[in-house]
Amino acid sequence: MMKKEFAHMKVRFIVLAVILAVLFVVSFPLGDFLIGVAENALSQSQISGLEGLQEVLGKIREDFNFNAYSQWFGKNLGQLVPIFSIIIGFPIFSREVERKTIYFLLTKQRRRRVFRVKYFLGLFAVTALIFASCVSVLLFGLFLMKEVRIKMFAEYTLMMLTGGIFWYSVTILFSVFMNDQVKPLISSILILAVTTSLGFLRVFRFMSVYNYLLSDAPYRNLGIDLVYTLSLMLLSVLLYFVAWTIFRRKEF
Amino acid sequence: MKPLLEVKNLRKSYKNGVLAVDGIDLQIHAGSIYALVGPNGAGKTTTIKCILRLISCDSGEIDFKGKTITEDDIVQRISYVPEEKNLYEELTVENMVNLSGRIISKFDLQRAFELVKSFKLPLAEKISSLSHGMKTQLYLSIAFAQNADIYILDEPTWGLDPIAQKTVLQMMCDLVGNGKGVFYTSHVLREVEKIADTVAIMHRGKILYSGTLTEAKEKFKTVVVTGDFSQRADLSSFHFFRKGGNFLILARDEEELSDILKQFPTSDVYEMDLEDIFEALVESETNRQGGGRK
Repeated sequence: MMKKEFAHMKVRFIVLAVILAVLFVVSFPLGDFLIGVAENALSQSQISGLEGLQEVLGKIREDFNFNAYSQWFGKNLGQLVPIFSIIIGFPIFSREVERKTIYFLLTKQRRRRVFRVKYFLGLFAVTALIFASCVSVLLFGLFLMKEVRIKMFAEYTLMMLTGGIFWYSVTILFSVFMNDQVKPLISSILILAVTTSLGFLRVFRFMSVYNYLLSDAPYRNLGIDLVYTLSLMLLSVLLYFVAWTIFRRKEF
Repeated sequence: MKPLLEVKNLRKSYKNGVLAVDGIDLQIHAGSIYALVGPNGAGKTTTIKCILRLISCDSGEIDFKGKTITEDDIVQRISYVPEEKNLYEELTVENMVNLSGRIISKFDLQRAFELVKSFKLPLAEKISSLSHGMKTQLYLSIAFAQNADIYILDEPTWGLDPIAQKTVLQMMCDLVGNGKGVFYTSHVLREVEKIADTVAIMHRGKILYSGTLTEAKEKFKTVVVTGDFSQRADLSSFHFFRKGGNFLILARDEEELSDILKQFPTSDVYEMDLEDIFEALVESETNRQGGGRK
């Protein structure tokens, strides 16, 4: 059954992995070259007031930890984590219901096993993508003999995994609850958009997971927001049990 | 002999208030074919889904070999073919059979490939490109390759060509010959007449008749009423219906037949086949209830 589940997920997983790999290559192995191009363009520019930008580009080139935060954790990966988690999670259950293959599955395997295999394989895919994305940057830095702050990388990895698993759990809840593939996708993206928008207001800042994921606190040696991290973890566990309860009782 | 599967007073209503299954009883024995027939919306598929716990029932008991049916019984002892034969469209026939071998307990992979071969299904073809009939044949190949105690088949011959239908019916008979129980639904009454040991006619959630075909033929008679009957009879006590311009009354036993003949002594009495019995029961029940479902 795991082989079947992975086969269903294979295309999405590979596409997302390729996107991350391309972003990684552009951000790191090609990073110096692109910064050089940008610096060259800036030096020839007649526009005044770009000195600050030049300074930032210099810092990206010189400080690998700043590079990793500003170009990867605080930008590319951090922004994509919730979206990629949604893309992995949305069809996991709803596809079986929409295509009516759920009858085949639920009369051949126990519900608990069906739920666990599907949930945890998706979780594995999300975790693997995020973990590989984080570790590859660390390894790249070590490979180039850069001064790498392991603690910062560990903290960002934990934050990315926590945020990714949370959004995966939210999406799985919709995937279990709804009977077609489009609704869980739209619902999850809508909630992501609404919470992100609300997060711009100071009073609702906590609602946007992006404020947490894109935080510069680990780079500035301020550590991770432990309460927020634990809250997201607890919510993910809670969402798992709610999704299982719905699936256990659901009529097909 | 203890039945393999026994359903007692099963009731199921949906959230919209429709009473889909209204207190039905049925028993499926080893070495026999139990056919559940009924018009669309009778509650046949709902009954099966309740048995397989795909939906929950409001009340009633479902026993397997004398004990309350468990999830393990369903996945290990029952082989099921649903009404809509949907399998994983992106897989080839061969991969689908191999997948079945991995996830179905007591699955005979070699037997499955033999069945696929007997239906002449192309192994390398993707399921998405198979016709409805071929998908049904593939589903049945997988279902019959499971060494289950009961085979629950929802409309197994729908959409099949006559030769394939005959093959499937023969396979069902072979299962029964090996001591298995078969519980199936069908709209094709002629095939039911050929192979079923027990027939149940279901309409609006109720089983109107359950028994052997021979018993049914002995029990049910149709009375074709002639002359002006409207002034003479209280029709509400009878199961009446119209067919081909004639006014007919269904006699459900000897006593009812003699009552009818007392009121309509010049009427003609006819024997019935399954199709007549089905039509008479369903039509007369519809007339008695008058209109839509409760």
